[in-house]
Amino acid sequence: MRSIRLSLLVYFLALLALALAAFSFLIHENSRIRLTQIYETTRQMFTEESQRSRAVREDHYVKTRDTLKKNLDDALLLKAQTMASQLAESDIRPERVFAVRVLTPIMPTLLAPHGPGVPAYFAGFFDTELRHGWSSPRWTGRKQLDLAFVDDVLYHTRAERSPFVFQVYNEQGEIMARSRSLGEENLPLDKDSHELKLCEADFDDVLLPSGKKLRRVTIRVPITRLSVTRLWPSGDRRRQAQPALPGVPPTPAPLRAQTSLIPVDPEAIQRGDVPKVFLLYAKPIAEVEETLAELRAELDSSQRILEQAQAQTLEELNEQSRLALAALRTRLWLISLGVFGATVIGGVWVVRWALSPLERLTDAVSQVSERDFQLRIDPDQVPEELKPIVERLRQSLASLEQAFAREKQAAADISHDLRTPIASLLATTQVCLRRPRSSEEYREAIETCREIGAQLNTLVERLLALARLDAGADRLQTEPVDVPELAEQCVALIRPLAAEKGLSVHVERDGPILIETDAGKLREVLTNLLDNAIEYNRPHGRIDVVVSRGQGEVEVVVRDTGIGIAPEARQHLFERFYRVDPSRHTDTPHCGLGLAIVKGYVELMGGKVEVDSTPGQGSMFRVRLPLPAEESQDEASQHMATGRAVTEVGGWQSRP
Amino acid sequence: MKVLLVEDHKPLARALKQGLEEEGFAVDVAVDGEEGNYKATTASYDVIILDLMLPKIDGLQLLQKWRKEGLQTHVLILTAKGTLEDRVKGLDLGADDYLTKPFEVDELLARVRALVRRGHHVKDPVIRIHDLEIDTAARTVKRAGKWIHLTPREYALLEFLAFHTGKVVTRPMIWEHLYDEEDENTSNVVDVYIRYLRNKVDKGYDLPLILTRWGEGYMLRGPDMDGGDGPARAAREVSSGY
Repeated sequence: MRSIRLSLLVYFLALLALALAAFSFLIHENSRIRLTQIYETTRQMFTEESQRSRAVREDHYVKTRDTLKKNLDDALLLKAQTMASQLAESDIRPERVFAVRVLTPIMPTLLAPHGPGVPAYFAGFFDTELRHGWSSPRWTGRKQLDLAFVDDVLYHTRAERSPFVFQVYNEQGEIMARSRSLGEENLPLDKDSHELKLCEADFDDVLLPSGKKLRRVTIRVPITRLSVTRLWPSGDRRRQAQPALPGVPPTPAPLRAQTSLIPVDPEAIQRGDVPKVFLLYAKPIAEVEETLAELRAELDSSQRILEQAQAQTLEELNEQSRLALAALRTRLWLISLGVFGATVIGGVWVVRWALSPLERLTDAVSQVSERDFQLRIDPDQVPEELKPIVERLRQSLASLEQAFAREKQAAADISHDLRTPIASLLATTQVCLRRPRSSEEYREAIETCREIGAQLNTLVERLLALARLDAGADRLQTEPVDVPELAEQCVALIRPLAAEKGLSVHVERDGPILIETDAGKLREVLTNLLDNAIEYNRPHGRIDVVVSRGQGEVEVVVRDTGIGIAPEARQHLFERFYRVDPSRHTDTPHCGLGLAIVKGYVELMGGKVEVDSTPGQGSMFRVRLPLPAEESQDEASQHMATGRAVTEVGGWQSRP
Repeated sequence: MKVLLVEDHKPLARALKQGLEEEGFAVDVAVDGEEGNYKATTASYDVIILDLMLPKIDGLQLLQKWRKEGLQTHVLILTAKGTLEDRVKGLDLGADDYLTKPFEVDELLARVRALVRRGHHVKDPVIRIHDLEIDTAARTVKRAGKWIHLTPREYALLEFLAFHTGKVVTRPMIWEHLYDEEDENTSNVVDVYIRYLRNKVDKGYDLPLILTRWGEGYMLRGPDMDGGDGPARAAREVSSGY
């Protein structure tokens, strides 16, 4: 496992970079799409607007053009109709009446040689029968259709500068009248004009040979009035000079010329039996076309301006989008870098902060030494996650400290117990050798040395026994052992010592109980227990040894009447080097090893050792060893059969 | 000089007692803390040799208690606990010297002698009184350049007198410091030893050094007490009369 700090930091930063990249990408894409959408929408809107505008302009143009044309047409028609209404047929009398006839100036063609304005008098015979139409059989002269115009109306149309031009054709295509403004030009009559119905107007454009373009209206109009000139013989026949109705023979009248306009018989008009003329009226359309061209140019130009403005706006929009995206990218980069940098620093700090308890723990642990087992760390500063570790560590250290202290104490004890006999040995020999002695004195000194040597030997043996137990090198040398007998032997061995202290030893035993075990080790166990019983007994106390059969086991109890063992001491009693009283009691070389060896040996033999004690009244050690299988079966019967023998070993109770 | 030996290991106590006695010390032995405490507080000793790991009362506790109670006797700790900590602790609790087991008997004796000298505010191991030279280290005595052979008891008596030169020491004082608890207290044993000492030290010399004060005790002639001094002469007369 590599460094937690590094791993945390790297993974964290990788995740952050990923998140930032995704976030930036999303924002960027979103913005780009939005901007594109805006651009597209705007462009579409502009296109529509442009089209709409174009349509509106076109519409406006068409309307204007139509209006202009219509106005023109209307004006032409009005003029033509007005003119038509002014038209009348000049009548030529069919009767032969002698009369002096004054020719009106409206007949310029007839009187042209005489000049206008000069009344011309013509005396002769005139046909008196008034006839309509010009195919009067009675008229000997040539039939001639003349057109009469009301001067006032026509005057301005005849002016040379008038933009309007007209020309009148008869049905034979002869020109009957034409406007003076026409000059040398000729307003042609189309062939298909003959197809026109009466009073029907036909509009068209015509291009004159001079290149002048004109709007022309062609009307086929009937002549509805006659211009009648009568020669009245006298003035008193004025009554008779009433306008003659067609078909009514005119009354002879004095020869006095009188011209009047007589409407033509409507029925004749209905029948079409009236002379008709083609009335052509025209006006140059250059002006209109110019106006239209101007309008067109104006519209086109405004449309172009609009489209240019739109294109520019779109271009600007596009540019702005590009710039905005670039700025957004830059900002996203900066923000990402900033966030990343801040996270690197913050992450380092956070990780360090998060791992600082570990460092503190490390410090605290490294301060622990064989001299100081305290874990110097404030529990409040330990995070929850580390608390179990710290707690375990504390427990381990506490038990280590105890073990260490015990080992230390044991080492001190061992060194004391080894050094003291050695010091004695040396001191004894040195004192002895300081001067010449008697043989008796030498013998005493050597005797002392032997004692000390024996003590040392015991101690070393015990240490070695424990070392062998530790190493597992101790093997049981099993043989059949009679436990009560062996107990008796042990008691016999310690009896002098007990007697020396004034203790009475009592043995309570069954008959032979044979088990397969190591006699030497069992002896060692019992001797140790008995030694303790003697050592810690009160003066003139009592020691009981009870050997009995139990449930599948043999039980040896050693009970004393000594100082007892406090409950808190009992759990440590079998621990190595443990001593209830840390100061030394006597010069016996126990060194806190005896009970540890007892426990080790008993367990090696497959048994158990227990202790029970009432402080101040005595202690009881119970050793249980397993019986062989066949032994335990008939154990009950033997138990009943064998009488219990109680042997009292007389205590040395010489003192009162 | 009287020494209390508090030591629970009996063979060692036995050997040390013998060694010290052969050097002229009177030795009392205590085998546990209680006994040591009792003897130290009831009798007067020049030096206490104290083991630390003792039954009943620990040696260090004893030392602490003694110093608290104002006991001035020099204490030499003799123990198997030889670590630096132990030594520092022992000395800091009021011990005058510290010796770890196993040890050389000669060293122990030398240290005890040094403590005795220190108890009498003597630095020079050789005490000179007129023409008498007592080498407390080598335990030899010369007068006017001639060796004088003394038994340990005689030497101890002379040394005791020498430490109190010019001052009267009473018989109980001599008894207390030169005889241990096992010696039989016979009233004239001190006088007997004084006579032995006079025979060896003063006999054949003009100026007697061991003087007798009637009803009080004995004293060694101080350097300012010439032969012509009244008291000195009187003492001499008395002594010669005796």
